[in-house]
Amino acid sequence: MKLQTKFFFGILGVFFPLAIVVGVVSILWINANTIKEAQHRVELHIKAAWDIYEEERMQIRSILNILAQSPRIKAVLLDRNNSTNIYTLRTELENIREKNNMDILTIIDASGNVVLRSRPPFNKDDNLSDDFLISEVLFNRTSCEGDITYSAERLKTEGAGLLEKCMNFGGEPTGMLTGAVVPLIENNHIIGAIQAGTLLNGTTEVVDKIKEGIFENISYNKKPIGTATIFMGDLRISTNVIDNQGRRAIGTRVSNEVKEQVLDAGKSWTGKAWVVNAWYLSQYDPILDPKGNVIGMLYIGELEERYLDIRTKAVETFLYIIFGGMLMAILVSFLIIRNILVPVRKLSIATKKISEGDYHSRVEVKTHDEVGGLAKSYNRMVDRLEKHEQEIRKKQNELEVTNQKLETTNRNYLEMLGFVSHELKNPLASAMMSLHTVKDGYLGDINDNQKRNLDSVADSLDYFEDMIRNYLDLSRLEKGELKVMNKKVLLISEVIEPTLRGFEREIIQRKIELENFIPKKLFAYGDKDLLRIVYDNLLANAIKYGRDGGGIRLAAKEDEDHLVLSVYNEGYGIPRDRMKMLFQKFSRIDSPAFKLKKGTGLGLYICREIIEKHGGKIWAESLEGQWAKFIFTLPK
Amino acid sequence: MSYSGTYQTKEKNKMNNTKKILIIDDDPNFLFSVGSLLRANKYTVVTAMNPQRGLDKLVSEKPDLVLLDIMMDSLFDGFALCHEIKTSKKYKDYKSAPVIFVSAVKEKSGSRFQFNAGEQGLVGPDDYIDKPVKPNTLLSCIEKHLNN
Repeated sequence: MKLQTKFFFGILGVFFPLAIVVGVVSILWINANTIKEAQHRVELHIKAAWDIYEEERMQIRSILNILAQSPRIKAVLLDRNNSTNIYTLRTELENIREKNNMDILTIIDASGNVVLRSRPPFNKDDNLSDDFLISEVLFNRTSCEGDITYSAERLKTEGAGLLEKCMNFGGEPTGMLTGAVVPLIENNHIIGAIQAGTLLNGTTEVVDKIKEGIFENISYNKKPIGTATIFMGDLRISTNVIDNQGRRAIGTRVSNEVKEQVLDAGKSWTGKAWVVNAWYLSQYDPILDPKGNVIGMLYIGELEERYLDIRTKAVETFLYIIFGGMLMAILVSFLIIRNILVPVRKLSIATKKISEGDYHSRVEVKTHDEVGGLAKSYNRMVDRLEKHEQEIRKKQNELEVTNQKLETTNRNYLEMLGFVSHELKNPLASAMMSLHTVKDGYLGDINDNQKRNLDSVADSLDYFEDMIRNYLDLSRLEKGELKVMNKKVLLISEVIEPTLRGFEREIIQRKIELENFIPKKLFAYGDKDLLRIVYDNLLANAIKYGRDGGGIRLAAKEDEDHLVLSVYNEGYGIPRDRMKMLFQKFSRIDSPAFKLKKGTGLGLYICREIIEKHGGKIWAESLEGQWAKFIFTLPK
Repeated sequence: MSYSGTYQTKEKNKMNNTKKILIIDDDPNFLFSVGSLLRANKYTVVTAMNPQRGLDKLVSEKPDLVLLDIMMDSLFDGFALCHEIKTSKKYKDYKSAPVIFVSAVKEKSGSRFQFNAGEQGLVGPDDYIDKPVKPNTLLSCIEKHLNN
């Protein structure tokens, strides 16, 4: 993995869990607080709703306070037989009542008897002193107000249409009025009271005012964001909750849970309520009559969906911010890391170049941080490496030149060696031919003294010939001219017999018993000419260092993958301490016996080279003073 | 196997030598010493010091055997001469005469030609003797080819 990738995952590893923790905590916080806040708002809203609700009554009282100053009302109370006055006042009050949307407007005398009702059929003369509000006013001489429930009988008495309205909006023969009673005072004496009120059953005014005042009639997803309802007991008598048929949901009843807490226990109920088609965060407050009895409830509800959506939106926004921020942070860190890594990458590329042998590349890093320091050290290191490399190359070139010189010198030497040896052969051939022709008596008898002298010359020439032959072979060997041409070679007829021909005379003269145990049909894989050189050398040694009248034995045996050939002779044998050096170049055996028969010191070295070129081995065994045996192997 | 029985004595050689041998070599000393040996062994000897003279002598003397040095003026002379003797119609009467190379040149510059003359499109000699050679070796070789 690249360093940059590692860094990237490292940053991700830090930021991602952080973002998750922050995200989860925030979501939990938003969740808890949105709903709490919404509930709190419901509590505030219902207070405002109460103000609007009570404003209705205040308005009634204000009107009554003004009417209470009217001399005509007092005049009617003081002179109850003046029917003209009464009729005029009744018409006047009826107008006022209708104009102010009130359902009842009634004048009562100090004993509680009704003097005038402004609502048709204008019933009068009944006594209302058992009405709690009226009796309070007559007794205390101060005005009084409140919500009161009226029975069917009372509603009938109060005027036409009231009971019907209650039956139509809610289906119960009971009505709930909000109203006030104001005393009529003349000369510090109470002469009566004036009463007014509005029937809440079926009215839309109060609830719509609440809805408009608090919720501004706003809809959310085609649902109102808030509604208000007035209950008489547990019965909805005035509401702006719209049911599935599109009508105001009047006449329905509240759940048992709310009924028990609010109506029976007189406490507010706060919570989530399923209203028609959605959840509303709601509060139900008890409505008390002036005596303190719970006669109904005021409800407002706020659409929960809206708050949930606000919450969701808040969470979404928050997540966007968190993840956006995280992405920004990652991006910025990524860019910073990349910036930091640029010199590292340069270093890496430069190092690669060096490993490929390019010592000229340097790193250009100008930052003053650790990487800059590293680059500087690196450049210094490469400087030194380059210097080193140049030195090595120079030395190498020198070495190559020296090597070539040496090789040329060696080659010249070998070629000269070969040339000289060859040029020596021709004169030697003439000399030997003449010498032997004389010495062997072909040209007539010679005396013993002459023969001894000629023998001595012949020995010298033999040595001379040996030397030339060996030097020629050596020069060819070392020039690489002797290439092994592996062929099937019949050992006896192609190698040993032609070689032996040259030794026949000496063998006979020195009465050497030559025994050949090599089968006539035995063949080896090798180079006929090179094998002849080997046998030539080994036989020459065997004869030279063999005992007069001693035996020479040629043998062969086969093992699994080699042909093992040997040349054995009886004679001086080989001193133990010379064994190791036997096959080295110019190795001569330094003992009195061998001094008489000086060798060139090359024969065995040449044998070893030839045998090893064939893939075989050569070694010697000996019992000093008794016998020597040379053994070599050839791969089959 | 013992070689004592196959060794040919000079007395044996002297018995029936009336044959004529042509020696072609550019070394007068070698011509002289080989000539001495062969004459001592009752051979008739004729010599030539260059290839052309050799061919002339071949025709005029009709030798029974030819001893030939490969390396005369140039390496190729001996081979060319041998090839000429063995193949030319001009010398067809003499091609039965054995030709023996007697030379110090065994190999030169890695090219080995004494045994693969045939591969170069040349007809090679009947035998080959390495210089320097001792009298008895030369004599036994000549005897062998004359008796065939």
